[in-house]
Amino acid sequence: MFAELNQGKLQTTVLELMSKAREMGDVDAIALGSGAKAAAATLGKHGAKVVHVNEDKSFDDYIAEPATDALASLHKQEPPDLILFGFTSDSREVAGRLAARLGVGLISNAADITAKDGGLVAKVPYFGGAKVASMRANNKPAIVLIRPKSFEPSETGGTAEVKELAVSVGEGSKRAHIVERVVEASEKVKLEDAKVVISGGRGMGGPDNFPLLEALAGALGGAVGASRAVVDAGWVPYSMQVGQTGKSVRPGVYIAVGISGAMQHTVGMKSSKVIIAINKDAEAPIMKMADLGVVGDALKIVPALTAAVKAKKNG
Amino acid sequence: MKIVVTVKQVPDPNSATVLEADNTVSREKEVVLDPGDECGIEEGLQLKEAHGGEVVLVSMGPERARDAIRKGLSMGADRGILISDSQLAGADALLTARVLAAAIKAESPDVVICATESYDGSTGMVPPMLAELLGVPQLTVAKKVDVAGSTIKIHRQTADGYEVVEAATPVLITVTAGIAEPRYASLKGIMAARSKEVKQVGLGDLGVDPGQPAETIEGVADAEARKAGEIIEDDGKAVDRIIQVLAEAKVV
Repeated sequence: MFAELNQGKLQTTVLELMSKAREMGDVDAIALGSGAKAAAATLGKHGAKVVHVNEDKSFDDYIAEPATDALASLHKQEPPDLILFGFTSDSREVAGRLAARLGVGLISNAADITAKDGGLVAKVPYFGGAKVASMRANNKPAIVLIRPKSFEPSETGGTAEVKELAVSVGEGSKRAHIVERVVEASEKVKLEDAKVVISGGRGMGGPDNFPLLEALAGALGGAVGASRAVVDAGWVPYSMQVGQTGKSVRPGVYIAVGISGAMQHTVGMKSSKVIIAINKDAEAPIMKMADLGVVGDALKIVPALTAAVKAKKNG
Repeated sequence: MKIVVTVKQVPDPNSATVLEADNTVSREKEVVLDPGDECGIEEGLQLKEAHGGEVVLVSMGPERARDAIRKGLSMGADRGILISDSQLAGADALLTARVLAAAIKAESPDVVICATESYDGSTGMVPPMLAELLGVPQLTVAKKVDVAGSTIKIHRQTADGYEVVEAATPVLITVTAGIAEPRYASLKGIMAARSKEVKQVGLGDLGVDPGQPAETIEGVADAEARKAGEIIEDDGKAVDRIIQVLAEAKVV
């Protein structure tokens, strides 16, 4: 289990994956960079038997290659049957390099994995999540990347044995150097954790109309997301993208505003408990998966809805 | 500066995807140059314009993927390489990366540009594999690229901002769609593209043995579908209905 850390912080999807991994067998986690030792305690609580740690700063400061070296070295020492990664932007960069270095390939974007007939079979949603392919890994180790929000994190209360991973990161791997980190926007309510998500697409007409969604999110205590189309168009930052490679969300209520429902998007939100779609096109694919589809002008409905929510809360 | 841009022909993102009876995505529909790759080509052209050199497009795909290369050539790229082989049908990410690496190595580029992910697969697995097989560092999710001598510096998009990441050439860069607005091919460009070279190569030419696939599809099932719900026209009362639904979900 690759326990991705970002600037010392254990990524939440790692703990989701721990719930699944510990069902399948003994889990060794590998945590690299600053915060690795602190993360080991958390990983132990979630069922990791052993956590291999190395706090060399090069894991924080260089992209993918030092982590690939560490995983390849651990693989050499103790070859696992399966190496699990979260399907996140950073983890996939490490997983891709590792799969190529070991020559084993990988299965990405999986929603589940099971041991079957002495091998490993992953469930991979495709066609916007309407279909699920069962894919058997033909090589050992199997490298599988699992979509965030596929499992619920839960504690077992265990303690992991912490082992210092002997790996020296060579100069040859210190190449893609992160020299500066710039924070542009701090998120108010985190998209992944929000109980209500309001996402906007092309039907919002332009970036100038996104504050209407912000206002509704403010009234509902939710967060604002977006479709890939409007992120690509530069209306809103990538951090707001919901979808296959953006964020996966599973809120109590998902309100899709002016989003047609391309598969790229729906795979990231179809597990929401209640889906409300507002769209001027009654035939848009999103309407077929919404619990409530409203055909109309989003730019009129959203402000009216915000006012109604405020009135309801105050009344 | 020698620049290679990987390009892919994908089903038109603006037309509806159709599944065949055998659960594969229909290949009969309209295909286009991946819109993400158009941005990669644009960035490549801008680098060439600023620093000189050559832009070479490399694509793996069936014969008709030549059209995707041709489109990039009409935007201004210098030449193309099409890797086409019947044994590559259904190639997985690793095999794709292996054949691209074999073709690209022969070019010894300073910079390889890929889209961060394709529009159809959207898994983004080929670029890091390709970087590994080429033995070069990866500068990823770039929304800005600067060149200073042999150092490439990018702004790497993150959840809350960006990172400044640099590496010496040769490098592989993955670019976001926001990096550059792709230019339209001019009539002159379209005419010029007709005489530009598109070299076609197969597995034998590249010396790649496809080997066994890394994974086998054992079966396909329907996912649990969401039940279609209620659809209403907004007659001015839609807001009341939405409030009811929000109240049932206990968020108001």
